[in-house]
Amino acid sequence: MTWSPFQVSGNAEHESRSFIPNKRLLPMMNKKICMVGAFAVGKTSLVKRYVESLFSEKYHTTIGVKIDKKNLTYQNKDVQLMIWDIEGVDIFTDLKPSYLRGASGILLVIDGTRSKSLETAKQVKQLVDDNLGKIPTLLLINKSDLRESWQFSEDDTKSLAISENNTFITSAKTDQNVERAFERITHLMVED
Amino acid sequence: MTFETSMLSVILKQLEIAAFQWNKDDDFTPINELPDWFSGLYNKRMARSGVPTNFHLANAFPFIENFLYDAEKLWSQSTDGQLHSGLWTEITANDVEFYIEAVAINALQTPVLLFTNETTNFDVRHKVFQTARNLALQNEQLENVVQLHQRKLQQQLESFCQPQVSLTELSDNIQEESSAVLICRQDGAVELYNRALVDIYSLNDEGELERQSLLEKWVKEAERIYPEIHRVLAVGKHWEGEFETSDNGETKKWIRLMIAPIVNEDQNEKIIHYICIANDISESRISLEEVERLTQIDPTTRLPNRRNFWSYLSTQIDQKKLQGGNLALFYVDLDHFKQINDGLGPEQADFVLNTVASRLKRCLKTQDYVAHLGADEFAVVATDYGKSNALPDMAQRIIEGIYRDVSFNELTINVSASVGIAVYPRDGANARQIVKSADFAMYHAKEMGRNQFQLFGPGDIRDTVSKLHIEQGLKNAIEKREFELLYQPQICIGQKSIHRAEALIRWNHPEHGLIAPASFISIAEDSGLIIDIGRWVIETACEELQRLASKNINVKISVNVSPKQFKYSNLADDIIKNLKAYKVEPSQLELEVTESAFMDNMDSVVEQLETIRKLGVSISLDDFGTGYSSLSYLKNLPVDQLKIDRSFIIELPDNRNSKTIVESLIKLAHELSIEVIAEGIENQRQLEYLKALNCDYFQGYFFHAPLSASELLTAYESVSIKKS
Ligand SMILES: Nc1nc2c(ncn2[C@@H]2O[C@H](COP(=O)(O)OP(=O)(O)OP(=O)(O)O)[C@@H](O)[C@H]2O)c(=O)[nH]1
Ligand SMILES: [Mg+2]
Repeated sequence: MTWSPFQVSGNAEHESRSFIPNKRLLPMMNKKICMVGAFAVGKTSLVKRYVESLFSEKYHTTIGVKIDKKNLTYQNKDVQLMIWDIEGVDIFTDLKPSYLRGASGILLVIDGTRSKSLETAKQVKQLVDDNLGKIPTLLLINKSDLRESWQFSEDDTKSLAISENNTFITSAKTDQNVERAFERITHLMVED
Repeated sequence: MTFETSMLSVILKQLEIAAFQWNKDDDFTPINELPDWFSGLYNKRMARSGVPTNFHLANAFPFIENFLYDAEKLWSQSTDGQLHSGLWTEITANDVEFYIEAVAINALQTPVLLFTNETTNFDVRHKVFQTARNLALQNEQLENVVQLHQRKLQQQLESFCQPQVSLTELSDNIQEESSAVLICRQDGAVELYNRALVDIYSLNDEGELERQSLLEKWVKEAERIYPEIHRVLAVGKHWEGEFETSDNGETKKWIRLMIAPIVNEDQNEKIIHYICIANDISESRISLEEVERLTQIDPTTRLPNRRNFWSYLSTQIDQKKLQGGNLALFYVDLDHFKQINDGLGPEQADFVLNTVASRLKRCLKTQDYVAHLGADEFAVVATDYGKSNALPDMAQRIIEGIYRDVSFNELTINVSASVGIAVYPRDGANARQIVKSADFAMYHAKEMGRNQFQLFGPGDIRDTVSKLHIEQGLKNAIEKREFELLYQPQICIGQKSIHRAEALIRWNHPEHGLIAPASFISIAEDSGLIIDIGRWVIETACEELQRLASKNINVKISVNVSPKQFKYSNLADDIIKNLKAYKVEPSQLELEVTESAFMDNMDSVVEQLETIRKLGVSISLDDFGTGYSSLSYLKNLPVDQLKIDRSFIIELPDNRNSKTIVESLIKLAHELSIEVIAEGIENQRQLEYLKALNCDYFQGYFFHAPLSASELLTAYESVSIKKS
């Protein structure tokens, strides 16, 4: 990558660009979050749960990117989250680094029932680190409702170097920890 | 706006593309009239209405805001180039999803941003990925099962492999194990293995295993994806992974392998054995091609493939069986595709196929189904076409849709297709029969000269089957003396005393009986046999002239020549040779050429005809009025006679059109000093009418059917036209 993480990560760069007039006018804070990870881990489902309070069992894989917005108030500040739901990584699809540009936070999702998704997460984390440097990142171990068939212990995720505070066991299906994970990333991004 | 720019604007809009010129920052000016989908989205995003003059695309679409970083980099360069954003999704006011891709272009050093609507292609693309990922999920589950099994097995084996235990005891226990097991020393020397291992590696004799170290081979193969394997094993840790391996016959396989070192705790953790457990997981590895095969999409054209076509057609027919109604199948076959493929190579051929695929889609309704059956064959299924008289129109649209040039970098080729149509239930009771019928009809369309369509008729199957017979038989027909010339006299009413006859070829086929030229000449032309047949006709006619001359009968015989004879043989030489050999006066021979002879290479044909005419042989133009020729072009052709096609004569004197054509033909011919022969005279009224127009010669059943050589002789002897 040719762009430097310091130039483009976070919000400062965005607001300094003259061609986004409304962002300077609005008192709202704008934060980009990227949902990344292997295919079928539940990235789209987590966003849908969080933004629309819906869940579907049917797997409809994402191609490309879909951006959702969510407005919230964090410590009396208005924040608009721009949630980038990015297509999952598989043998045909790599994570495109250009999609990460300008992100203030990363939600790295793995599927507790699939050890392969942890392998993929390691590569994705590396790519994120290379491109964005140190940036608020949460690990979401999803599908907690299927915990009886989980493939690995929380120990196995240590190699990702994401602290326990920033690791959430979630379920888009039962809504476990979804709200809390987004609150946590908002907190980290705003304080960052 | 110039014509070009408004044209460009219309084209872009039709392609559903929104094109902008970038001014600065987030300021864009549209280049074309924007397609509705884009205006709708933009206005929704900006909460506005109407058409602004300047657009703020980054503001409207956060995805574009991000893409502009890369786009601006491209635009700042002076070279032409382009950059794709990748697909993203937007939702309209009424919750419809749009799939969009942006393309940044440096066009003549102008920064341009295009938005393309990928929504229609999305389903196909999505289906491929969805299937691939569903499969991959299943495979992961399968591999999990394998992994679990390997780990259990490893634990069992480890507990066995203690220094004090004899391995032979173990050997019996693992022979029936479904996972391959190999136990070896640290240096790779084999100690124990089971049948499953022999199977994976297709080993012939078991000694092979002892000669080569499988451990070493595995480490080498795994190293490509797992560079750390050496280190892991060296420190006595257990390793597992999946990689590609080649068996004894060099067949590639995927295996899942687990290597567990057994250490002797008493000997300072020294590794005494490796337990290796392997499973063949090739079947759960999927390639994109495989996925596409499974999803029934043709990878070149992204259309449904043959397999999908069959299942679609069968389901549709089943439905019609239950609910009633018709279904039409169009079988589309590109003309001369083999030449394109051979001449230009597979990449260009794929390009042509792609172009045809998109042209096909464009000229059909969205509910019509299009499939690419492979090579140069496409199929269209229409279930909803209203009355059956809509089919020819639809076929014509397909043909015209395809029939255009395809341009490559420096060359342009013309693509056309032949189409056969079959209708369920009229032309077949099931999918197989419908396809067969449509295929026969398509074949018929090829026969009729390509770039056209044919509806299936019951004769088609018979025709096609016998065509193959015919082609076989034609090859030996001359040798076996199966051809015969018949002669149909051409009558002159009036003072002129030249007697003429047209030589007509017949084929006495040993099985099929007498075959008319209409049934075999085109086959002979396609296969090149026409050259020999044409020579035989000239020679036989000359021979007959000699025979008649010996009986003092003086006639002129006209023989038909095929356009191919001008192209692929030296017609003048053949004629000179035969005139000499049979001592025939050149004026006794006439060549009948059709208009189509001039279509191909007019100059060369005219030149050859002039040479032949100089010999004294006359030329008559056959089938005049049926083809492409206009009257005005007649004066440029070296002809002495003009034959008016029977299709005009049949309708005389009642059909106004035919009358007008015939009258003007005769008038014009006479002005050019060309004599006119009317063929196909069947009754007195036709004769009277033509006589009144001063037509010169008459031919037809009204006077004579075609006669055999001996009948001709008898006929002439009875009217005693002796040489003077
Ligand atoms: N049981 C359960 N299933 C879930 C959960 N989250 C997602 N799923 C299911 O997992 C499948 C994949 O979910 P998606 O949200 O489409 O996954 P994704 O990560 O967006 O996948 P890609 O877009 O292909 O990268 C779907 O069938 C979901 O219904 C969960 O928490 N529990
Ligand atoms: Mg998704």
